[in-house]
Amino acid sequence: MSRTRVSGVDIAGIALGIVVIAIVIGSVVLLARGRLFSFQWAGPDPKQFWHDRPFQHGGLREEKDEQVTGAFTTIEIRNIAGEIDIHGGSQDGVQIHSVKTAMFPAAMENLTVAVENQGSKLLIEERHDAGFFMSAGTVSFTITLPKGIKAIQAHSVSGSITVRNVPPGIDQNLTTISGSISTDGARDLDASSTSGSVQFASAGDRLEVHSVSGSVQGRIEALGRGGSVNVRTVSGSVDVEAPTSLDAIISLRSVSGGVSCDLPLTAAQQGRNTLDGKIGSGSGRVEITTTSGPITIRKM
Amino acid sequence: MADANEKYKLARKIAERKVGFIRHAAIYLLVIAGLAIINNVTYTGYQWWLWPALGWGIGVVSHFLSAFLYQSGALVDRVAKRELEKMDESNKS
Repeated sequence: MSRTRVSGVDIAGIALGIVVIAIVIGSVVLLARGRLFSFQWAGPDPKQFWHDRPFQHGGLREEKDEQVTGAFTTIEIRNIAGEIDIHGGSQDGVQIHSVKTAMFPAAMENLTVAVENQGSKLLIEERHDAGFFMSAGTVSFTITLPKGIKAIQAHSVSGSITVRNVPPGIDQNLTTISGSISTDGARDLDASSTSGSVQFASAGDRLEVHSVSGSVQGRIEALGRGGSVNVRTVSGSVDVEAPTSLDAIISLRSVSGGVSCDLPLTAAQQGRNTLDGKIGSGSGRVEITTTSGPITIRKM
Repeated sequence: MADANEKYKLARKIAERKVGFIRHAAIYLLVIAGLAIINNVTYTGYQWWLWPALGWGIGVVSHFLSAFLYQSGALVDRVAKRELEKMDESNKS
């Protein structure tokens, strides 16, 4: 009777093979981390399972209304993919209407809305655990502001940000990567989007709008004495309305886009893609620069 | 003599395959351990190192199967040997 000899190389090789198989199986389990499985195990009852299948009713949805009272002067909203809609109201507290949507029950459970009272500031934030389905859900916010708010900070990655009918005199800091920004009634405004468009109306001392490929369209209703306007885009166009009562030095610069200004400028120097001039005594400064987008300033 | 030489060649081929797998698996374990350490030293949240562990792991497992369980070419070698025997028999007759 012959006996198969097993060498050290065989033992080492088979042991290593088993270790690698264990790592591969472990990776699959850890990556799914129960989320795939919880989707399949939505309920022990098969009828419940089919009822919970998100594809039957276009995804899961959960709405919640919350009112937070406090002496807040600043509201900060941090979101990832859902929309942020902010508007003014007459109630005492901050009203938060959140809509969570997700493709899987586990992703829905994973998605939470955190509301933190930080003294004079109220933080509203979308939170979720990192994991295989970390981006499987979104939250959309509709925030109704009470009186007395002095500043709004809203940040999103791919969702759009809209600010409408808020009381005048609120500073706004709005940033998004691929969503659009639309705001009216801002005092000082800092708006930044990478690929989304920016629409604004501001009447403060400071206006900063930055975009890479999105267009910028807005209205400078007033600019405080010594105030500054700085609008920068790469390929997006800039179309701004301003009053003839503006008191500022104007500097429009584009690498390959055209520049035009309807305002009555003095000491104007126009180049092919540049325009410098002064309106009023020139106490403030308006600087608009683009790489390939055209720049237009119209009379209000 | 020729038969012994052939056997040695086959044995060497199998040994090369097995040692090749051990080398591949050792490199895999070292690199994946390094990625897991980098992942968890820089950021403890999302475990991205699991993706290369899974993708590359599938390749290492298939290498293991071919080296230890399924020896590709063994069937062809057996058929070729039989064909040689047939040729020898027909030459004798």
